Amino acid sequence: MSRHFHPDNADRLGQMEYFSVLNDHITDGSRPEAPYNKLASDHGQIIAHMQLKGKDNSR
Amino acid sequence: MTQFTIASFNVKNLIEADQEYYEYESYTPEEHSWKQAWLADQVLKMNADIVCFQEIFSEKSLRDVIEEADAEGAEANAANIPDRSKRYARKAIFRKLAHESYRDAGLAFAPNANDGGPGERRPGVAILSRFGFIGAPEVLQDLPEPLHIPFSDLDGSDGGHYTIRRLSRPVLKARIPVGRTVITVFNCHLKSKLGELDRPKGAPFPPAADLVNYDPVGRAMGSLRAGLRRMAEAWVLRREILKELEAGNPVMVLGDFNDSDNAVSSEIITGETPFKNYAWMRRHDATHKGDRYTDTENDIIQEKIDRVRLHSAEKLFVRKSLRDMVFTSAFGGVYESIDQS
Repeated sequence: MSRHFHPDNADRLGQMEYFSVLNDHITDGSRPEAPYNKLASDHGQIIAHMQLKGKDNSR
Repeated sequence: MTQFTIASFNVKNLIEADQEYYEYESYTPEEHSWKQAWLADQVLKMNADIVCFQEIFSEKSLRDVIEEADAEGAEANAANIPDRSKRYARKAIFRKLAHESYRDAGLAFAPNANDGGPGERRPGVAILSRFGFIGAPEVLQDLPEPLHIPFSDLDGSDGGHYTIRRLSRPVLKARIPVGRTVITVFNCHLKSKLGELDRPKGAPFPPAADLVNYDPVGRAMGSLRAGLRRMAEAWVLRREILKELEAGNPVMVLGDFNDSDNAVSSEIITGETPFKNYAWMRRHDATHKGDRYTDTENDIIQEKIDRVRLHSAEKLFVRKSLRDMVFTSAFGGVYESIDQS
């Protein structure tokens, strides 16, 4: 993300509050004891939780 | 305050049942049903306002996932969200638990220009946005001009050049209104680490693909080609990002970068990390040993690098929290974070 969202930037539009990673399903296929991931996905999902400054008019 | 969430999700080969995407690879109806349900669960769990998807072969297969997520979400809302008559209905937790339908969300799909018939399918990317889009999202895959990267050898002689005319997967660029801000979002899926192996004319397969007659030299050359392609694609993306940054627009780049955030291909996308103080550094046109940049020039350089620099969400989060381990892929026992924002 550009510096518009960097916490050290005094002129920022906002910043990230939290970052989630869903990766419990990730196994490297070499461990037979590990549960599914052949059909699921071999990638984790990442979610950035953002907060913008200023008045809310979106939701 | 406006809060929103933005996510990246490589779904791994999403296509309808009984469709051969790569040679000998397809889902039975039962496998497809399981996969769709799993993806819907993940979409519901993510509950992100904006999702950048990779490895989508058909728009319909993704719409089916989103529809299933919405149906599950509606069911969950009925069970988990109290109606207004309840005195505790305004507790903050219920805002987090509620699923907001994607029924009115925008969905932009970019199919892959390299897509072929059964067994030769190539995946595209998509962006789902609860805020919709401003203007039509743009697709970048076929380069208007071929990219020629010239090399010169260390003795100064011509080192030839490397050329790409098309990206391995499309880049999707969308302007998304969030509150009063418009953010330019790029969704990308760069070339993987899978080696590009030599295939002599008429050969049924690349000789280095034969693992019984294992050819480590040939396979290393395959990795070199894949890495070079990934870096060239990263540069094309960087050039598009710079146009937005130079116009003053806030930018978020998400997707499957297919390498970690300190890999060179990823650094090409994010730009350079500035040096601590350029007044300590000898200037480019030095005429004597102690000829350094001035303090004023240091300020200029710092600003020029900083204004076009991107920051990894993962790194920012590691700094902010006490968590120091994030991974999004595992291969051969190596856990890496190759999906980035």
